[in-house]
Amino acid sequence: MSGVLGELAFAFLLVGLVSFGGGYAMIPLVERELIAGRGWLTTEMFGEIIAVAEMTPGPVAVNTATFVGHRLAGVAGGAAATLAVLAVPALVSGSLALALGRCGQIPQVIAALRGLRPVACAMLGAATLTIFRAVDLDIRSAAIAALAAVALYRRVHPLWVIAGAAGLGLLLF
Amino acid sequence: MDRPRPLDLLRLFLRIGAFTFGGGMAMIPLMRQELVAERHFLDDEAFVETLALAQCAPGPIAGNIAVLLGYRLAGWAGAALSLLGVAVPAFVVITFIAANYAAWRGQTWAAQAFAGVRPAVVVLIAFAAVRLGRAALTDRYAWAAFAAASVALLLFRVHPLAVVLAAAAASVVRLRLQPTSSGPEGSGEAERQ
Repeated sequence: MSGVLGELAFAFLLVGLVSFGGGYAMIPLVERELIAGRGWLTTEMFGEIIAVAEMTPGPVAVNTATFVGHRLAGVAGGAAATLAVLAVPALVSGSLALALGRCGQIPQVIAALRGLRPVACAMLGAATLTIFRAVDLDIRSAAIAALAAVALYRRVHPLWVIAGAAGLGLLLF
Repeated sequence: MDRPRPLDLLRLFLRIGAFTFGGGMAMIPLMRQELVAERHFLDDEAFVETLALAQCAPGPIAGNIAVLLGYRLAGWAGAALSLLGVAVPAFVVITFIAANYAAWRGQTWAAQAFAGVRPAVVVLIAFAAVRLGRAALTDRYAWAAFAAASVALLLFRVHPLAVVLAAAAASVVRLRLQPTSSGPEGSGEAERQ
């Protein structure tokens, strides 16, 4: 049991270490490490996990780690994999936060950070398009999108928009 | 700007983590709503910088944003509790589903609900992009950088980290070329520790 836990932790530590660019970036890695490398999962199973991870709350990386860990070694496995996948990212972003706290007043750092603002907007634009491609383009989706737009324009809280869209999904799909 | 206590951040990020479907990017509109629009813990300029910085660390972007913002707003305890808040709802829900997977597989209601959530999430992220764009794209240089980054990300599939580093480098070079034209316009720098 503890052997499986250790191996799980190690595998997801690796996944956390090398997956830049958000949760979806780790998918090919999980495929290589856990399916091809260790045979812990089948490709079909992994496809199902991704589908579950998408429609449950939270980052896809955390969802995937919890699910794979749980399948292999129960709640302890889920916890070990989740902690492991977050360990390196937390360390790196913690160091970034610390460096920013120390050097945030240097003109070059301020300039570099201001230079990042347009990139973040471009990232959000790209993310919008990526998710847009996954939407079934039909009248129901269009209606939900239109309602969401009106609600957000009227400053309705995003939580209500999400809850309302989920309710409409249950009714319409 | 108001300062939250670490426990406030835990509560906020638990809520954000529990209600965002479709991965970490879907959390960004909610984070902006809670932290910028409603509670004024930071401004749009600082928030948008944090988004780009989060791409400089590996792993889930929502977790990285939580650590960066948590530390900035409430120190190490803030960073740890924010990350916990983002991760715990996901962990609990998935543990429950994994434990009852046989029963869960036959259900279609979650897929139906998510089919409804997905188009709404597109609109949510698009709105966040426009609102943050208003704060970030204030001059011709910013628009040019936005266009270049969009082309690099979408058409050439350049790695986000490379885009972030290039943009930071370009901005520093620009500072050196014309030191007078880059005085602080946004207020994002003023309250950085």
